[in-house]
Amino acid sequence: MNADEKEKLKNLLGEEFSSEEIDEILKKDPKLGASAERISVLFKQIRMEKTPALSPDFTVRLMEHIEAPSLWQRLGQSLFSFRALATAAACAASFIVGLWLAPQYLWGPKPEPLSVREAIDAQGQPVYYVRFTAKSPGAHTIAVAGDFNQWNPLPLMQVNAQEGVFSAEVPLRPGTYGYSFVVDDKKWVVDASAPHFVEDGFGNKNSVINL
Amino acid sequence: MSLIKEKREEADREVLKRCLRGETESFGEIVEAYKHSIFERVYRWVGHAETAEEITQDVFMKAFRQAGNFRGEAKFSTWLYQIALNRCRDFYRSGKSRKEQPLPPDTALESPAPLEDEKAGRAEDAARLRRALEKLPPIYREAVSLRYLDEMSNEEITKVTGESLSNVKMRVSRGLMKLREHLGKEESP
Repeated sequence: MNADEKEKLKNLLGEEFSSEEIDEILKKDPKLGASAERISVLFKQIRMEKTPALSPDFTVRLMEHIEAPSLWQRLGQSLFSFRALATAAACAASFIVGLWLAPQYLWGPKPEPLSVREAIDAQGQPVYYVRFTAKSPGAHTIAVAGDFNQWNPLPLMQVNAQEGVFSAEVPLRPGTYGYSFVVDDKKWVVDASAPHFVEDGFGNKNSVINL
Repeated sequence: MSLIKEKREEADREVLKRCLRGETESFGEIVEAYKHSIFERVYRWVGHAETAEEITQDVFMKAFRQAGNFRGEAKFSTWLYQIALNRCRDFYRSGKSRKEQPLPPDTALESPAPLEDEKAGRAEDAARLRRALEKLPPIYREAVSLRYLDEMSNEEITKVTGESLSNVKMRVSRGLMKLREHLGKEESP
């Protein structure tokens, strides 16, 4: 491994990355070290681009849409000063609702385990159809990302809007794959139903499936 | 300098209090103080001036409507910045692509001078990087943009996004790997 390239990659990634983490990254993408300086220069060129000017009437146009709040709105906003009371009331209400709902979530149906169906493709090769299922009440989107799709999030289909259940069947070749779910494009969630788990090198866990 | 920043923060909170009391015209002071920095950040992310201006307008409208939710635990500028970040996430999630800005008609016919060649080369490099950034999944694009366009440290990104440091590092490193892959495809013959 080229020490100079490793140093340039470390500068690009940041001081929060340990030497071991950088080694791990270079194992996954050996070309990244050689490209680090080039990438850094490209970003610098974007940062140096002149930002266009805002319209001179930007503030005037914005303020035209800002209306004085009505008496009711101001009354509502003045409750800000009674926040402690409102917060306490909300906590009490949440506790009561939580007690009522708890049985459903504590002893209710568990997430569906990962299901796998084996098949033979048209070329006579084994293929496994893996059904990934994730549940996150309130989620707008859930995707699955893993070794089998270069960690590009693949959207799952919503099958139960009320309970936030998403699912999709993905054909995979025999092998071992690390993966994770991505909720609303921003939160990584491990699949608790996976048979195995592995550290991802950054202090998180990925689910693992062996086919 | 930090004393100036503290005074700025105090002034912003005072303006918000006045807005909540119904003195909405005060909000113009906040707009004037932050419009350029918010617009610059949004423009770097979306790459199109008109879209960036619309998003910047939305950011301030949302900040005004949610003034009562500002708890004062974080800095006001950080809170405003988080609104901008969420608005940009919505923009990408909506699937609206960045509009291409057409070249002026005569540009392609001229023989550029050497200095213009250099500028054109840099502009093409920047465009190439933007195209590669557009191809990244939003979860990686955001991390890479915060790290390298806004020049935030990984630690600072955790404060703005609310993510753990390990998650941020994972997104930045994977985002870079994918970016290198897309750039490699653009640059190879």
